[in-house]
Parts: sequence; C-alpha cells; structure tokens
Amino acid sequence: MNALRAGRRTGDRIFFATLTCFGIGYILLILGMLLADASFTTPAALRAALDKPEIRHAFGLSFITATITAILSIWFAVPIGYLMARRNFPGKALVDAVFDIPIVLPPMVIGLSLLILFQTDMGQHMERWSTELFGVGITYEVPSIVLAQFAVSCAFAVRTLRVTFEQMDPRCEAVACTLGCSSRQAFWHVVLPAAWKGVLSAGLLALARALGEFGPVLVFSGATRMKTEVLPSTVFLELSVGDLEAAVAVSLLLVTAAVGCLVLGRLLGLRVGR
Amino acid sequence: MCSNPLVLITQPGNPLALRELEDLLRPDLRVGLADPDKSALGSLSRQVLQRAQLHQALEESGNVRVWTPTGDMLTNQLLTGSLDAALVYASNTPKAKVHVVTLGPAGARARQPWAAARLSPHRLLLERLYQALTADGQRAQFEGLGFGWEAGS
Repeated sequence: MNALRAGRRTGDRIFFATLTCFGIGYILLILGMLLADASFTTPAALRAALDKPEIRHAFGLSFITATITAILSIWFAVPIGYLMARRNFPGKALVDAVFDIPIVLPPMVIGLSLLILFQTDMGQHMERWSTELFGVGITYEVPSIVLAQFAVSCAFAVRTLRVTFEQMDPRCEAVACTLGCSSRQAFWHVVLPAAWKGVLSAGLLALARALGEFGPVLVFSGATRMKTEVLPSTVFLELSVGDLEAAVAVSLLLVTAAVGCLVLGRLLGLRVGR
Repeated sequence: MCSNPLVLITQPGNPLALRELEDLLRPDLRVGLADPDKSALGSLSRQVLQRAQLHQALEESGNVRVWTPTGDMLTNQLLTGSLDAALVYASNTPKAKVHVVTLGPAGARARQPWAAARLSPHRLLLERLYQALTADGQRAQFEGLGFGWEAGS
C-alpha cells in the first residue's frame, strides 16, 4: 500500500515538474525578450527619445486616446457582458461569435475595414456629424485613433465582463427583485457594485490593449507626426529608418506602461487578462 | 541597377483632372504623402515639392490629410476613397486600379543600386545573382512592375 502511495507521489511530482518546465520555458522567453530590449538601449538613449517633441506628443496622445478607449469600452462592455451572461435568445451563439471577431481578425484588416466603412454614405454622414459637433472629422484625425483602438479593445472588455457576470450568483438579483426592485434597479444597486473588480479589470485590459494597438491605427489614422502618431507608430517609423535605439527605447516605454497596468490590476486584487 | 520614378496617383479615371503638382493646392483636395523624415519616398516627395516651390504652400493649405510610412499604404488608402491624390513610387501602382500621372521633368526617381559586401565570402555567388538579375528578359519584368532600367546604362 505504502509502495503504491509512494509511486503515485513520485508520479505526481514528475507530472507537476513537467508542467513547471513548460511555465519556466515560457517565462524565460518573455523575460529574455525584455532583457534583450533593455540591453540594447541605454538610459541616455531613453532620455534622448523622451526629449524628442514628436515622441513626447505620441506619448501623450497614446495615453489620452487609450484612456478614452478604455472608458468607452467599459461603457459598452458592461451592458453587453451582462446581457450575454444573463439572457438567452435565439442566435445567441452567433452574436457571441460576432463579439469575438475583432479578437481573431488580423489588425490591419480592422483598420482597412474601418477606412472603407467611413467612405460609405453612412460613414460620410458620420464624418459630417463629427465635424459639425466637434469641429474635427474622423478619418486620419484623432477620433479615428480612438475608434480603431475601441474596435479591438472593447471585444476584450466584453469577454472579461461576461465571465465576471457569469460567475456572480443570479440569486442576489432575484432576491432584490422579490423585495421590489425592477431589473434596472437590481442591476445598478446590486450587480454593478458587486462586479466592480471585474469592471476595473476589463478597463485595465482595454487600456493596455489600446496602448499597444498598431495595425488599425496605422491604416485608419495614418502616422502623421504631431497629429495622429501614437507610440506603436513611433516604433514602426523609427524602425523604418534604422534608428533601432530609439525604437527599442519607445518599446520599453510601452512595455513599462502595459506592465504597470497589469501590476496595478494585481495590486488591486483584480484578475486582469485572466 | 534600376530606378523607381515618383508619380502622382489619383482616383480611377482622374475625375478631378489633376495633371501636375500645382493641382495639389486646389481647395479641399485630400492629399496623402509619405513621412518626409522616416521614409525615402517621403524625403524624395519633399525634395520634389520644394524644387517646385510648393512644399510650404501645400503644408499651409491643409490639404495633406495623412502621412504614412510607405507608398503601398498610400495607394490602398487612395483606393478606399479616403484620399484624392498621393505621391508614390511607380512600383506601388502596377496592379492598383488608380490613375497615374507621370511628373516628367518636375518629378524625381529613386535609384536602386546593387552592392555586395566587400568582405562577403560569397562574392562569386553574388556576382552570379547580379548576372541572373540583369540577364536578357529581366528588363521587361522590372519595367512591368513600374521600375526603370538602369543596368548597363
């Protein structure tokens, strides 16, 4: 009996050691890439990159647009996630698949699709509406950056929030309703306060995702310096002229910002990206 | 070995009848250019516009809607209808359904040189590659893709 138990314990150890090897291998790859980037640049190169006015502009624009994108993503993802978690309707599987399209589409295709959409009659109408309302059009202007980031980031926020709502016990809302709440009141006063961690996680994930968005922004917004250039575009522009040091310096800024978002999420006890 | 002329592209059929660089200053025209500091095409475009004394005026006109890093992206952006005109290399256009305006003496061309590393251990191999690239029949292929032929000239 003891021999059998010892044999099983050894087998378990080998099993978990194998799993650990896979984990360590992947962690080494990720850390190796970051260390290689860090070793390729110097603090002086990082400072020089940050001193360039166009990079400072791209830095500010990236954070402003990514923040707006994260807020918009939450705004849309909360109702969509709740609806998908709580309601069954015909064609739900199809609708669910549609929400995942931005995740599986190649980024360039999203940018191209947006560009084509905004040349249609409906798109032109929206351009005029935006110009009248905000004094600025959409295509090749700052709003196009937010739209391109939103098209992708919102899908990740929807997925995160759907899981959040699915994991919450629907009995709480049911009890609230038996005590006289309408569904809307139960949602605002019971569900949403209980889901704040999921909402924040989805927001941080959308923010990190928007910061790194490149393909759709390049096609739909261009990379006009001091106008629509965001940090990922800067990396591409610097690479295209062989200024690898500047490209790596900007990449490290992006990595730091994204890791900052994820660490902040962990510190708040959130499950960002999980 | 070959060259790549700068051309002005417009929508199919050239509905706005754009014929020369000066036409880029027309009111409300949507123009796309390559980034002048981050791409050879953009730098060449800036030189051509400066030589024609249009660079400043074009910037002030507000007609330049977008800068992109490459000519092929400008071609595709124009094809979607989001631009009226763009300055690109001729090699960015052969399969695109756009109207191509050659710029003649006002234009410019990028020369594509051939070079082999002095210390390369494969110099003979590279020499054979050069011979293959410049062999009979190759010229038509380069020209068919929009390049000019410079080898031996």
